[in-house]
Amino acid sequence: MASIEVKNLKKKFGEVKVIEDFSLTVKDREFISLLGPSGCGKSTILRIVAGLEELTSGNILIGGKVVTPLEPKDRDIAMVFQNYALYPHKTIFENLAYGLRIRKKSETEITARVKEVASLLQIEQLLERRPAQLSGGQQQRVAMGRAIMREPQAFLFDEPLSNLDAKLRNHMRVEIRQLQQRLGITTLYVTHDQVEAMTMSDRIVVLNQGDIEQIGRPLEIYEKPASLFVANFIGSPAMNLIKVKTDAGNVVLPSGSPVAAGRTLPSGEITLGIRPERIKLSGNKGAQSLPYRITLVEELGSQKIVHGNIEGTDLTVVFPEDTALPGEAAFVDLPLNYLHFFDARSGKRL
Amino acid sequence: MLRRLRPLLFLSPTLLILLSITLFPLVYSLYLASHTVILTNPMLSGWSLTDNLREVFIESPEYWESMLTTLILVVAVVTLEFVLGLMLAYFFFSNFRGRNLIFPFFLMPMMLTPVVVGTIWRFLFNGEFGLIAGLLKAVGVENYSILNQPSTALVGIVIADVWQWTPFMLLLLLAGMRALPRSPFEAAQVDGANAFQIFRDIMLPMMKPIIIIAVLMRTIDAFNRMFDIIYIMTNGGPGRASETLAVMAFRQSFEYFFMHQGAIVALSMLVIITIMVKILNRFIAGRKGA
Ligand SMILES: Nc1ncnc2c1ncn2[C@@H]1O[C@H](COP(=O)(O)OP(=O)(O)OP(=O)(O)O)[C@@H](O)[C@H]1O
Ligand SMILES: [Mg+2]
Repeated sequence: MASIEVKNLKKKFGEVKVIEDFSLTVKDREFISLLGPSGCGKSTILRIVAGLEELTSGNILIGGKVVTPLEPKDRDIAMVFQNYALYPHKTIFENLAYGLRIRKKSETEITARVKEVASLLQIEQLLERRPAQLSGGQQQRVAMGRAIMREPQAFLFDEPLSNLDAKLRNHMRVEIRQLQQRLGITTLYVTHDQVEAMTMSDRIVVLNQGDIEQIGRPLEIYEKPASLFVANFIGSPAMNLIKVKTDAGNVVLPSGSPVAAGRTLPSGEITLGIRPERIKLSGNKGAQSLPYRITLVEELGSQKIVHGNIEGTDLTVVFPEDTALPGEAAFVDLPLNYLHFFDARSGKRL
Repeated sequence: MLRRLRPLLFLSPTLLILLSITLFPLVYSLYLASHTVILTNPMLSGWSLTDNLREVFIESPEYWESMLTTLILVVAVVTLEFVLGLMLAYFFFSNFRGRNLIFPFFLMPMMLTPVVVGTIWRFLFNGEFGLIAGLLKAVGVENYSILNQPSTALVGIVIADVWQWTPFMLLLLLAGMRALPRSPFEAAQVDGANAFQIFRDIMLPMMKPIIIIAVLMRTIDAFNRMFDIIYIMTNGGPGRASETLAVMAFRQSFEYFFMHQGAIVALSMLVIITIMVKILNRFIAGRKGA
């Protein structure tokens, strides 16, 4: 199989710079997600790797070979498009078979391969239909099937699950990952869904306006976000971010209450971060506890999301479903080892 | 009662005009077709529908000769216009510098009235002072005009019609191409298809509905329009070599003054066109349903 290397990629649409300087190596057999908000350039990068979009400068290598000047057809990649991009006039069978027909494979070989892929994706009973006669989830599986018909050097996925309902999405997530691992094909996967990125990837690339904010394994990114942007983007509900001042080993909340930082921090404005699921909420006041006023509780069934504030500073807490919430007299503890600190100006992790 | 009549009252001027320009000619030509109306011999008159039909459809071969001429012309011009229109549409589909600048020139013939187009080409083909005769003179052929030969007059007409109406095909097919979704093309590129394969396997099949509609529209139009250009260029000649049904209807009525025969030819065209329009409508409705 093959690695994908993107070297110093720049892309402008006319005068608009979309990607400034992007470099990334997807190792052989690796599954990397490009994660970022809408409009940050994820699709653009993917389409440039596929050869569907011209780059302004930089180089693309697939399997160690420079493919920058090559057309998509000569790059030996397979792509699943966000909107599936099935051939509307062809049956599902012909949709799957087209890549092999182009390569002049024999009819018996094509039929055998289509059968194989169709059974893998459980779409055997759909082969005679046309795309318009399929549900979104079925179309998505056909699009997947088309990609794995031949064994390409690399898979490129552009938000392939974004149009599916939650249940089907969870199911397909597992299927895609298993398939990728079984076939061992290098994969670049674009998504704006952090759960997809967290659960499927070997590594995640967090993008912000065309720049890489952080590259790392999913847990690394969750536990050590490199910047305010990543901290804010990863995790649901989002990490609590509080502007604080430092004071000799403590940080001081806007209300004036000190919180132990457990380490020395540069003086000045910094941002304290703590994930809602790491906060301890109870009716008992401990040595480090802060008084907490609950304003709203969201019941998710599996857990409660509690909104409230510490002396005026908003704080969201995730609370287990099976435990009774404390009443008026509630307190929160912010465990030392789960505190994150960021430079308020640059956004960099401290 | 008055309330219910009032809308009719306001509509009546429009209705009267519409009826007088649509219904009246139809009724009148039905009258002509079923009676003996020969302008040079007003003494002959009276009901003669079966005689008239026999005269036109059975006793003389002229109607069927004109039918054949019409079909040959329609098939030739529609085929050529489709092929050329498709090639031009594909050409203008790609982005190149100056595309928007030259595109209007390709549409111009369509905007001229057929009489002008006919006149232009009659002069171009003229055997004595036409441009083409001039070029032929240079290689030693004197006084040659394809319009003067029964065997080639149709070719001249085809050229003029193709020149005028290929832009119509170009316009429809280009609009159809532009309206195609982009993503199947990209999928085909990734699947490994080259430009020709994408054209043949993706673009053409996806354009099938618009192609059918364009060809049908052009066929209907060519069938009943096979008049003005011909009238100007050859007036159906030499002999009857380029006499289409429309020209025949005209000549029977206004050159030979057999009004009833002209009316029958015209009404037969009406029937044929109505059937073609029905087919076209079915395709358009089918496309909406899909
Ligand atoms: N053809 C184009 N011309 C001009 N600007 C473009 C073009 N395509 C994309 N852009 C711009 O480039 C930026 C990145 O677009 P891109 O499609 O890569 O975003 P994305 O990260 O995939 O977003 P989403 O999650 O919404 O799909 C956007 O600001 C977009 O407006
Ligand atoms: Mg996108």
